[in-house]
Amino acid sequence: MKRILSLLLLQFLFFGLAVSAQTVSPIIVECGKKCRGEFSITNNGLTPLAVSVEARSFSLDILGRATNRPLDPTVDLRLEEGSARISPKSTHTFAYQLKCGTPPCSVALLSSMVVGHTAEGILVRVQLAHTVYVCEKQKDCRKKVRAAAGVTVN
Amino acid sequence: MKAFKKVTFLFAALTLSLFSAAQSQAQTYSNTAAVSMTFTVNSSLTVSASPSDIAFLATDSSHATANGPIDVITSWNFAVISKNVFTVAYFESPAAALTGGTYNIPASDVFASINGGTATACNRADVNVAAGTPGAICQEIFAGIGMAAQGAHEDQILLSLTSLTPFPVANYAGTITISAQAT
Repeated sequence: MKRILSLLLLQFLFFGLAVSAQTVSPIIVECGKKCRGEFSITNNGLTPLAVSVEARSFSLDILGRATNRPLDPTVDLRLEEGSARISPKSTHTFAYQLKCGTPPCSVALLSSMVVGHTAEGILVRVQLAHTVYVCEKQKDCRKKVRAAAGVTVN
Repeated sequence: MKAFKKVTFLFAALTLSLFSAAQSQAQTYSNTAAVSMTFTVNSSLTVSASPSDIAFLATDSSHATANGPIDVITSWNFAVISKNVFTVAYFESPAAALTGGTYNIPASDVFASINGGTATACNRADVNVAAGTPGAICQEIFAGIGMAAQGAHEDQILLSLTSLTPFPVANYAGTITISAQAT
């Protein structure tokens, strides 16, 4: 009985301490007008992870901060999967095709992940962005978008 | 005669050993084999947040503090292309950062202190790095501009609740999103 109680206490103590650590790779890609790409999400944790992906268009302030908004109607995004379940210490790759009607287009593919659940208090969700810059020509696309936004830092 | 035989035998043995040495030296020659190696390292961005959930401890009927801070570690391995990364925290809805069924706690009643700094309400609209809803965003956790190609940054967020009126009796739950983006 004592052993069971000890195990329950340990589980109770460590359940909330689960570290929610995830990785996105690559971080940024540059594309021509038609873009086919993929990004990977790695679950660095020890519990399975449910991942959902959503897309946002964004603009930049002069320091390079993104201000997100709903996806522009001129952007045609086809995500092969909108969600996935990733095993512990595993990686999942999300593939996409993106067409930009009126370049340049700046799109953030945001992967959101939650570990566990709570009936009381606050659950911590981690979100990582895979950033896509689309221009007429791939070369220096990010640089052009940033210059057009008046970003003064690299 | 016997001595001559012995000398001849020794000479023959010595000659053979010389040849064998030459032969073993010849064995060191061989065809070269080239093994090509490739190793691709993509840029990556990692965020860890611990713990995965927090509870609030009421200090009085209209104030509560989280049972501990959320440790957020933003780490990166940039390609040459980017050297900026931003980490923010936000709630889904300005009107209901936490919900207890009938009653809600708005984002304006949730305060965040970053690294022991002044706690400010999570109802900002001007920090919008990720998909955050304007009006439900906490102060910026980390703004890494012109960073080294590889690095990590650790921050702590301590949440608290403050209301002008007592919180109605309910079990409140919500989700805070820690979001990171490199631009």
